[in-house]
Amino acid sequence: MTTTGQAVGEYITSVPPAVGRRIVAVSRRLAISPPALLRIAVVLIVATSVAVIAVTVQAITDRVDGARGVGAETAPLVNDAEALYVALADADAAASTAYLQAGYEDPVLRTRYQRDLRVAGDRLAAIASRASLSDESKDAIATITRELPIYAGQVELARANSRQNYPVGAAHLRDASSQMQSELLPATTTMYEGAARGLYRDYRRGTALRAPAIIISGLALLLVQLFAAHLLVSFRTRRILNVGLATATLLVLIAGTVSVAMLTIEGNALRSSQRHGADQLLPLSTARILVLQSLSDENLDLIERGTEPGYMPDFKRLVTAIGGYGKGLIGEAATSAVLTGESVAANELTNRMRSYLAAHDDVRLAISRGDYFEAVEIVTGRESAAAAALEKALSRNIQSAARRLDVHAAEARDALDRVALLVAFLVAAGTVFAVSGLVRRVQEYA
Amino acid sequence: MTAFRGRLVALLAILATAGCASTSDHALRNLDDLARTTSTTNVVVTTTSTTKVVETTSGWDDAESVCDDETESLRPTEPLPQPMQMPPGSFMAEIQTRKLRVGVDENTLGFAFRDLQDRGKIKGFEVELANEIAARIFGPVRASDHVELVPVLTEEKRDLKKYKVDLTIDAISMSCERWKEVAFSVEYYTAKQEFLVRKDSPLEGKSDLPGRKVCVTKGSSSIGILKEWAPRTIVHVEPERTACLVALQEHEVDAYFGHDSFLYGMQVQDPTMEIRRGVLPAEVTTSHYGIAVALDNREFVRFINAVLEQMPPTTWAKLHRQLEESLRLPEGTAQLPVPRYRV
Repeated sequence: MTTTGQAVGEYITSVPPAVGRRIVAVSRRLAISPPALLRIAVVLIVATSVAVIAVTVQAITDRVDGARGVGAETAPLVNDAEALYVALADADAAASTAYLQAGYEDPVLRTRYQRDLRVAGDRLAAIASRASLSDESKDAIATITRELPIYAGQVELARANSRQNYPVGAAHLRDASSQMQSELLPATTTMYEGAARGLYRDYRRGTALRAPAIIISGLALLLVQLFAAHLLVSFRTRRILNVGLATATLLVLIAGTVSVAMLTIEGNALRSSQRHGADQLLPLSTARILVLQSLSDENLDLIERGTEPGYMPDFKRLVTAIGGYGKGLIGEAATSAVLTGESVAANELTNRMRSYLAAHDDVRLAISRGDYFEAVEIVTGRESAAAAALEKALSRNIQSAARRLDVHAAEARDALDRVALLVAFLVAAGTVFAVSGLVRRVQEYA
Repeated sequence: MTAFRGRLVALLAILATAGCASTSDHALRNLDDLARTTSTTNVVVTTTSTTKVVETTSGWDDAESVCDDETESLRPTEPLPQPMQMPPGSFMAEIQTRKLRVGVDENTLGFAFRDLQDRGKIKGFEVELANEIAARIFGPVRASDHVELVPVLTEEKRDLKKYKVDLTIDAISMSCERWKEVAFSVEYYTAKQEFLVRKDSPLEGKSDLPGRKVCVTKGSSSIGILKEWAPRTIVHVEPERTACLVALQEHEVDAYFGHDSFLYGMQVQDPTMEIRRGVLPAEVTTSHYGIAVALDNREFVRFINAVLEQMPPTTWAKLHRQLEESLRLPEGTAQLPVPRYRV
């Protein structure tokens, strides 16, 4: 201790005497005696420590909230909203296929419809129980919860009438379908969009530079105060090293290092979660929803015998948005996958997209020939199968992306586990040491 | 137009003498047939008691384009060609090389509806008539494989080009206005437009209509009739007939104004509904159904008229009985209208 202390002390006393004279001059000017100065230093350091602890804990908590939100709230919400859309859209597709094929009692379609409704109910309950829903999403949930039983009732009414061979059953089914398309599905889309936005908000929160900036500034301020106090004490008392203050400085430095290091790890992990996960998950999930929308456009155009001219332009718009190799949502997902070293099976997706579009072209051809029944056969057969295959491939890629998202988000959460506590403890301990070191000097004056 | 016709009929009724058979309207309209001559045709006076017509018309002429009576169609082909031996160059000869495409409805019980117990095949009275026509073109054996039934939307039933059909048989009411768009066969069914209401409805007469919500199908003649005869009714338009039944069931409307041919089927599907007759005057609510063919294909119209004319009464009786049974109507409700021809 003595040799190193002496060396340090020598270094300190080799500080220009001007600084020492300044301190004495200031204290004389302020008519504050050195002991009073020391007492002020104590108060200042304690006050700053308390403030720094509070602010640091808050900053770290903000980042933790972002990281935890991604894993526990927003990413699952995106998944639930997408699954809900798929379930509802598929239920309606099963019902309208039954109408086109006049197969109301087809057991395969019936099973599919009932399973879809069950899944929709489960997902609806899961979403409703989540804590962090925007007002828009809450309204959407309310709409869907209210309308879904009415929809199901209309479908059953259609079935009951069709069992008797009553044509009015078809009218009930058309009502049900239009309710699904104009109320239920748009509400679900609203929720999905809200969830996606929420996810990226959490990413921003979890990687905000505000936190480390605040922490570093706060700890730097504390360090400056400790250093100044140390300077004051060693000049006045010719005791080069104040153990308390030195220890305090060390602890604050450690606190700073720990918090910056852990925040950096957490930030990187979260960014990985976004780049390796969310940046592929979102475009693929959205593409899946658009595939279902396009298929329903096709069904409805057929059911309404082309009287509604809006379906085909909408189909084109959706298909362009979905894209394929190098374009659209599939292209976007593939690009971000390449950048991060994953593989999104862009080729497979593009090929399945092509099959789907080929079937669509054949449907339009049949319609232009006036061959309605052939068109129905293609839509309910080849085209539905192609859409299902495309959906399945999308789903597989979505799941891989979701896994990566979750893994990295968990890493981020773990990085900050108890870090706030540790940093607060270190700063508090440092304050104790600093105060004890200063108080001893003050006592020497007494 | 309808108001004028009503007054004309009333006037002629005063002038008419008793003794003509059949319904009074038909008898009176005969007076219009008289004294129309052209250079290339022999004028023949038709009476309502016979359906056999002998004439030697060649090609089209101006007289045939004039519409005085919407139920008057073109003279039947004589003699009727044998199946698969249609006159070369004729429209039927072209049909012979492919399938007969027929526009039909698919939502009307009894007339044209999907049998969901039979893979959704469209069946009904109108389908049977189409089959009869096909049988005369292809022969009875080949006919069943050579008919393509195309479901058409109610509001565009007369748009044969859009659906690429050779003929449409879908409760199309004949009118001189519509004769400008399509050519019609002879009348194959007479319907009356009536009001379908819930059983507890207080609707009795025309005076009950103002302020009430009445459902009609898009593009139907019902809209015009309501506008003229009950202008203060609130008209609610639906694209399909069955949608009007649903609207009635859901209490969105007070009544559905449509052909009793449909309303019978709706009573079957929902026994809490009933038909209120005579709310509007009989003359304005009568609908004469004709098979629609493209205006250019008048020889096809003659062919169809000949087919209908030569269908044995037993066949007609069988089809009528089937219709009555599926609509739960008493025997004899469905009657064969008397065919009327121009010139």
